Amino acid sequence: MATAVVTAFVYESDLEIAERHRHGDAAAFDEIYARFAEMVYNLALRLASDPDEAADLTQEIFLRIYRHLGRFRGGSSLKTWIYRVALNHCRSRLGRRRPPTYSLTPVPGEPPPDVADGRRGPHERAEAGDDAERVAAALGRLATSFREAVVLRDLEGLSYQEIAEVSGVPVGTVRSRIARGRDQLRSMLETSR
Amino acid sequence: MTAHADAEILSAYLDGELPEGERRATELHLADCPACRARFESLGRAVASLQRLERAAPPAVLAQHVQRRIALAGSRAGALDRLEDRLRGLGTASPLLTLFAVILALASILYLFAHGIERHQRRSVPIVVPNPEAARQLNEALAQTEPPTVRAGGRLFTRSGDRWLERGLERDEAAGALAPTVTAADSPAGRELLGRLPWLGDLLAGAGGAVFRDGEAIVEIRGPTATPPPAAH
Repeated sequence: MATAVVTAFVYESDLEIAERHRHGDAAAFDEIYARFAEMVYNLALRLASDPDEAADLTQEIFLRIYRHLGRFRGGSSLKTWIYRVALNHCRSRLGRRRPPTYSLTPVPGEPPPDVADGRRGPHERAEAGDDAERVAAALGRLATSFREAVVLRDLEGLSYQEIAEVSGVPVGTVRSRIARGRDQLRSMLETSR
Repeated sequence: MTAHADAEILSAYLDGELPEGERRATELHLADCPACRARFESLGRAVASLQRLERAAPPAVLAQHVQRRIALAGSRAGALDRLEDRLRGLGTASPLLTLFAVILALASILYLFAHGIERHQRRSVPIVVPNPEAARQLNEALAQTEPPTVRAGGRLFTRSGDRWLERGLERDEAAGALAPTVTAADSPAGRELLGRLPWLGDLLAGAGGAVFRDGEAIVEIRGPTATPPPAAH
């Protein structure tokens, strides 16, 4: 019961922000950026496997949100709606290029792919070992649909139902994609140890 | 559960997304199957590694860049930006809009195609120049291809095999339902018919027989003809 009340409150709040944006309140969009920039950037980073491209994608995604927020009618939460906009934009942009492939074992003379935590410097990353690098590289090698499902589940923490809404596929498909993505990832991580 | 648990079951079990019955069965199976337990633990480690990936903060300048893009979007330069954005977003348009666009495009193609065919057909209509000699030859050719028909005793007869068939009996004959009373021309009944219906002689002169209605009955009279061939001089 308490959950239902909170959910209703959140949805109303989302609608209020969208309504304020529709009426030209600039502070409403600033609030949306403050609430969702980290979420959008991390999704783009894990799907693009490149910080610079993730920054470009984030700009474009927020431009789309700015233009289309007026259409948000509260049929889902604002968070789910923004995930959908972000995922669709990433698919559209990243679908045109071949996904990057990384070697799971270090190649002499080649730096490891820069897909881990953007806040940490090389020294800290070296201290943390190469586990995060290996995991990020393995994630980057998954097929797009599996990577999307695994990122939304294990990194963004969405429920199966939310992933189905964001991805536009049935829950059963989500379950299957998560499982296959995780199984491939598990296999890659085991063989790269 | 006797077979090994598949990846989808293990993954859903890890997420607590299995229905109660399946969850219990998986639990029991994992307790008894070292191979599946090892795989499940390996899966758990992989997921834990993923979840340990630290989240990145977006670059600080990103907010300014977004603001600048939004400001540009309102200017003339923004018009091009919007166009670019729309072109990029073609693949993400709403399914209804996409469906409508596809239907519209198909309807346009069909209209143009049909219109083109109509024009083509109009152009294909041959121009007929009256030619009496060609028409006569055509009629003769048609007459030769149709079964011969004669009039005798005020009735129409059509040739069917070696005999003449009175018009109206064709359907019964085709259906195998024609069961005439057969009479030889030189029999007493035949001679009686030939005496009563003299035109039968004309018909039998050029055929092996004739089938006709005689009151309610259907009769077939077979040659030799009652009319002898003209004597040779």
